[in-house]
Amino acid sequence: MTSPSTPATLDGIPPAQVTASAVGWWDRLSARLGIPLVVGVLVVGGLTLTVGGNAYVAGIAIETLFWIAAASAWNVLGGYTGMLSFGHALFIGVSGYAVAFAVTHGWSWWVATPVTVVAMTVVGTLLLFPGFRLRGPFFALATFALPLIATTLAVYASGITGGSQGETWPINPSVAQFVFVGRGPYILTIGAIAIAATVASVFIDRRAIGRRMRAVADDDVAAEAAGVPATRTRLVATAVSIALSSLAGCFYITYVAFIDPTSAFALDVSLKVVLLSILGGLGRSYGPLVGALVLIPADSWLAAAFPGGLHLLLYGALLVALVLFLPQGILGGAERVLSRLGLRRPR
Amino acid sequence: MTLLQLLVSGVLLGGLYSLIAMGLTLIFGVMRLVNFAHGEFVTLGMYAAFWFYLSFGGNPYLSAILVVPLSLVAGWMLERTMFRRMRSAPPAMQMLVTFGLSLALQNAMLLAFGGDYRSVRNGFAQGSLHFGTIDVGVGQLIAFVASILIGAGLIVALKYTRIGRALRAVQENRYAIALMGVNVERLFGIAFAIGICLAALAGVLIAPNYFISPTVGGGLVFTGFVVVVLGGLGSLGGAVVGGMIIGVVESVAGFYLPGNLKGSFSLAVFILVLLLRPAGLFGRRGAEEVGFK
Repeated sequence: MTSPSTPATLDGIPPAQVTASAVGWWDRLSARLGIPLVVGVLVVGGLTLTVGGNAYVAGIAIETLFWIAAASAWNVLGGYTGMLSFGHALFIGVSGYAVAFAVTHGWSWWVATPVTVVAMTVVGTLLLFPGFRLRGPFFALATFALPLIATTLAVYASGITGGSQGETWPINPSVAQFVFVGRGPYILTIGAIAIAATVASVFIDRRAIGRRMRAVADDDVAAEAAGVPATRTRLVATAVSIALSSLAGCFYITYVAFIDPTSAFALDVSLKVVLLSILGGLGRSYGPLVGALVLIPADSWLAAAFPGGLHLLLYGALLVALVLFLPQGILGGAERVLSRLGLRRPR
Repeated sequence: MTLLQLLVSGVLLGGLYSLIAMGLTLIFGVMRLVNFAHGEFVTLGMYAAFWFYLSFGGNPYLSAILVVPLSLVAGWMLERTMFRRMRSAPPAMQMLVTFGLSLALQNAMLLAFGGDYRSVRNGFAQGSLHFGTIDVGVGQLIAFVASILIGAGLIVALKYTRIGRALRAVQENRYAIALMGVNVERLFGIAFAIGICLAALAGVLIAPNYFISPTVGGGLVFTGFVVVVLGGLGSLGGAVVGGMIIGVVESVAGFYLPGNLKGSFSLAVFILVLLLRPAGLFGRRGAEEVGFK
């Protein structure tokens, strides 16, 4: 496995050593990513072809894939970098509004989405930047307030957002406006976004940037003393996290086809991305994926089986029980069981 | 509406915010825990007053006789069974647990009491006094005076009693005081129990003047967070002063700003304080950057 840029030999250095140090990052990465990527593409492709006609199953698939993407996005900031955002609904909601505004004013979704993602990433990073010096609960409280402010502003700016009435997505089938009759295209698109978010997580996990993020999360003073550029690392984590959240938000509005201030900036959304990451395993590349795969289908079943308050009561109780009894998440718990059985070296 | 009237209403409202904020800030200062479930205890206090009023009639304030011991016990038990188990967990987990608790309590109340708005009818508390051109609701006045008395009592108790001194010491440095042979775990339980009791008492005090529903406390407590951050996380005096400021700001802004922007004003104050002076008015400077390990 040599990339084109690898020199064949270097004077005085054994060839084996040269390849070990000069193998391109892409080769090392694809060795790690190959199988998961193929599995992901096969699963998403298979779902697109098989359940596109069954609205109920397709709905669960779309929700699950959306939450994989949104929670993976949160995990980059909250899990790897230790910046506990309790306001990620802001980025998903604002992107949804922006895309809805653009599309109802004649833009194509395919153009509006990249523009929104870039703009949201720049604006969102600038917005969070002054909060970089806040730690732990202080950062959490500041981010917690952001969607609340956005809610009142969205109600107030009714000329752009439709106020508390909300904004409706076009209904006539159209590729440009991302309106389809079957569910296939939705699964395919959000599947691609979920794969991109997971691949980005694995990429970060394996690369130096991931180690820098963990160092900043553990002890930023020590990290900085050791030469880790803490602020730049926070900036990268924030930008990646917002970009992925925004992308997920740009898709989600096409699927639910309606946005209003309370649903766009719901506390529920901000919390769910945290919950799914912790359920799977905080700061693990596949944590949000596992969390969403377990909880989102169970959640739709719970919501149907226990309507109203009981569903949310169980949800709250689950949250408490999870943190008390499985703080390392499903992956952390599984790892512990495996290492106890002697199947895996403990981390 | 004169400005003076707005100021008076604001200060009266501020007394209530102070009471809620004192519970939050005590719990945060001692346990380093941001209690997102605080509002649900305010709501529980309101339902207790409502139930007391339905069963025995008459004065809803008397329900405090029951609410105080019950909330102390509930707070103590909750701390022992839940938060003691996760003392070493990262702050994200601890906050998430209080979120979960909030969600569970809110929906348990929804199931138990229904979503309808309830109200306590009490002619005395709902009357008002007139001083020249200024109207003062009796209920608001009672809540204000009680809040100030409770707050002053708490500050004095923290200053001069043995447990109070221990509570202040544990805020300063929990490891050092543990080395001095003080039972820190017990202090955590005491702080949480007092915090929950203050929340429930606030619920009793406002029961005659608010419509009671499972979600009412959550909204009030968000304002409580604003107050706590403004006053300085962990500072009781800061909670009192911050409560007054936010009360006045809300009452004045509520009059001059359009109705749907009213809510975002105190939130904007909140974010500005966090960014410009995260230690708040009376908090220890630099606390926000240490991040309370």
